[in-house]
Amino acid sequence: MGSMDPELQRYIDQKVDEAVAAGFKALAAGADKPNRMALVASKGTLDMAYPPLILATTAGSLGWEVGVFFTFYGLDLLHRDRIGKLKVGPVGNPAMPPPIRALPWMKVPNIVGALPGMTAMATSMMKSWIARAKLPTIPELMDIAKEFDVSLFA
Amino acid sequence: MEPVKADMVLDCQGELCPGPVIKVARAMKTMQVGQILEIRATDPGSLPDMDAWTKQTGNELVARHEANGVFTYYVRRKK
Repeated sequence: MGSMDPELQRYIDQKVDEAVAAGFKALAAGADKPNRMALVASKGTLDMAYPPLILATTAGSLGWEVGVFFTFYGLDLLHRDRIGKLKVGPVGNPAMPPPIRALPWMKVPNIVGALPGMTAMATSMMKSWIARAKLPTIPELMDIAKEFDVSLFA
Repeated sequence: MEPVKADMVLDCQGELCPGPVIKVARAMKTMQVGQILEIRATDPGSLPDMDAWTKQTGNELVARHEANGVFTYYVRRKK
């Protein structure tokens, strides 16, 4: 095979240049696209309501495009009354810290945690930790998320 | 170091990451371009937080200093 027809060569060069230029332009345009974050809020206990909302508000504060999908028990976070009544239970919660600081080895046994009133006690303990750490409440975090234009889906 | 004149002061002492950064973002939205926000925080995590936040949002960390466990940052709104 000999050298290519010069017309054809010119045609190919031109097409390649155009394609490369268009490719670079697309890359540059894509560079300005905002970062995005998608989260799922499927839990309705007081402790598990925090992770998606903290991530959403932090990403929102950085100007990211955030979407949170609420499902299962996370739907309570979208309910105007239930969002203020989230609880946390001590039963089957091996991550729950021991309640008596003087006896750090004594965690709440499941059989004790099943007694009436124990959920309310665990919830109020958690609320006092949240207040001491100056963390926003869940309703406050939801308001902050809306301030940062976080999209809420259900 | 010459003192930086702040248009607004935000006290985030005692708050943990990401609290201060979220408050900074909210306060910045109420300020005008060019104004300076002063932030006081005690969380050592606020050091990398303020760096990252200013860099990612295109705002300027004008100055920062630390005294007695309290970190003070000055952030200027650039856009």
